[in-house]
Amino acid sequence: MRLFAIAWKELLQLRRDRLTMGMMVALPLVQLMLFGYAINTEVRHIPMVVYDQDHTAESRDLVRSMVATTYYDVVGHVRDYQAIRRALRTSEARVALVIPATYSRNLKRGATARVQLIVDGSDPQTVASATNTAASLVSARSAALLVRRLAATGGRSNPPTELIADTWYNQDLRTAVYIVPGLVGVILTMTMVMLTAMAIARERERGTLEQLIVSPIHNIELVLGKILPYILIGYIQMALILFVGHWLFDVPLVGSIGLLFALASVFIAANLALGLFFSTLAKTQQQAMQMSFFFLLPNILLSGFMFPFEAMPRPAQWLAQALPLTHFLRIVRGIVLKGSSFADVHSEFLWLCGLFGVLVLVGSLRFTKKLP
Amino acid sequence: MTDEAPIVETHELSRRFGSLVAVRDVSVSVRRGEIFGVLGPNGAGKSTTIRMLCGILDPSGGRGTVVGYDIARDPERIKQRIGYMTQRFSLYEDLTVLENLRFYAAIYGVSRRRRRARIDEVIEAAGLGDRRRQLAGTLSGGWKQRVALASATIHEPPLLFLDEPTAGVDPVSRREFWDHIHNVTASGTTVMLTTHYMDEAERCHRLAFIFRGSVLDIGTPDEIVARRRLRAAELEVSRAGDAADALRDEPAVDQVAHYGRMLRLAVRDLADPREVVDRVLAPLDIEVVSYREARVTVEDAFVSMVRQDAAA
Repeated sequence: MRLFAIAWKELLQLRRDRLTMGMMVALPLVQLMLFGYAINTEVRHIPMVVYDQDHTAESRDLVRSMVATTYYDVVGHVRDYQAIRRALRTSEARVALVIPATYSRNLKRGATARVQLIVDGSDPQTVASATNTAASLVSARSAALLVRRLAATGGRSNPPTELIADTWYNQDLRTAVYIVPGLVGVILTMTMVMLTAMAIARERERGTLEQLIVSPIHNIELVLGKILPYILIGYIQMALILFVGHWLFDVPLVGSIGLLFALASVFIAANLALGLFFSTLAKTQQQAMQMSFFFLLPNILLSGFMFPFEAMPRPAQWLAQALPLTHFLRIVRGIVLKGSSFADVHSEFLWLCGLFGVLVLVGSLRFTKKLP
Repeated sequence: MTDEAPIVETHELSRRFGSLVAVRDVSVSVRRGEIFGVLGPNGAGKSTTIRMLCGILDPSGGRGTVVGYDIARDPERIKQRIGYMTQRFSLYEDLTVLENLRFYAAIYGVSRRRRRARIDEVIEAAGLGDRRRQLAGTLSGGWKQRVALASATIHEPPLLFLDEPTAGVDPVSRREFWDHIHNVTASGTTVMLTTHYMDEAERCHRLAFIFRGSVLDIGTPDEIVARRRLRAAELEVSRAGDAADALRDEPAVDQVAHYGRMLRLAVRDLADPREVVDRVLAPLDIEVVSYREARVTVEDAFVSMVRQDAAA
């Protein structure tokens, strides 16, 4: 079979290309470390300055309870607003807590005791984390106070409503658990598109492609033979990320790994077909690489890998639907984190099949055994 | 198809790249078993012609048949029956000689049973025995060329296209290569090759001169030379520079070139070169130290033809 001759040749070349082989293994591991250790979308230990005008046991108790949430670190006490402005401007602090002189008096009198939280809005993630935590802390304290006051006057002793938030899957809300399965998709998108695009561009550059198209080999044999070995590499990368992620970051592997690998084949093949398409546009390996990187960026931004799909405007969502990664992310997160069955993710799988069909069609229409 | 039918035949074959006409109305016919040379300077359209004949480049006009099949309609059938080697010796440099040969044997569908014996055969013929496990990228130009030729003939094609096969190869390797080519044709294979080396052109059975995309002449080297009606001489004179200038101004002189201390001269219309030399140089007091008539070469014919075409 000529198909296997191509595939075998490709493997022989890969074996001798230590750099590429090293990259294929190092890339997933480095990305895994970066995303696993460094990236955390939940912001804790926000530096805070305190402007306590009250100086009472009550005001100090408020500060203590805020620090106890672990979301705030007190980095200093200040005596005026000028100092707060300076602290925020120099990024010494991101948050300032102002407790007015009337705080404890109002508490004791039963009046509303107001405190002010000033946040640096230049980083919205920090703002959300800082204000949400402070708001829930203050309302919890208010509710407790209210109950105590009511009890003192002989009223009902329970808060009027209470929300019991219950998180299923990833109970600790750890970012790594969310990121690592997604990383499988991102790494596969990056390497699969680039590998095929470059593998064909390399033959074009070195003149061996001309030698191949002058042979009686069929178009399909050439394309499939080129793609086949890289599916194997895709699987190795996938296994590497999942198992190292499981071992290092306790990312659970709830669902069927067999199902995941089976469904991933279509995702990998779709990316390889896209790489083939890029290779028909690129004249050199460098161009092929640039195109692959250009394609990667919208994938990372739009697919739901880092930012929630639901938060994007409609046109961006439509665009994201056309990216194989968007659908694969739902499949891999579903299976790995929630134990989804094939029935649970079948619509995403159909999307992948459709995209693969389109890409293979476009790729093989452009990839002909002719010189331009 | 009978043995008398040409193995390659084109009729007004043309190829344009945008506004550039790379090949213009080329009509050639190559007979079975001959070594047919396409001679021309770089950029004349030689490679473009070969690529159209191989079925990897669509012609913009005209038609052609190769091994009995139409180049526009049946390129895949042609590909099964030809060998093709480019000046870049398109080998996989990160594969060994043996791996390259095995790969091309599989691609050309050489049966598994026959493959081993056939690979041994070409390795033997090319003298590659000691280097079969060497990476192709570490071979010198001459050895790469041998491996490339072995790869191109692995499926024993009746027709072999060689596009500038000796580019960047040392003279000794070039000579060995030509001996090998003659061996290949002795077993019935037809070879069509491009070159811009004049000495190689003389080793072809027949030639097509191609310049700026057009064929200027076709025939055996002797026929082509004879048709130019040139006579040549080599002479040593006292003032070579002045002599060359004066001879170039003489209408009967086709070309003058310096060869070390010697001047090489070609005159038109079978005129007597000695008579021309004496007539031009005597009034200028230039002394002729030595004189001998020389054979007219393909190079003389080619230069003459190109100058005439450029002037027209």
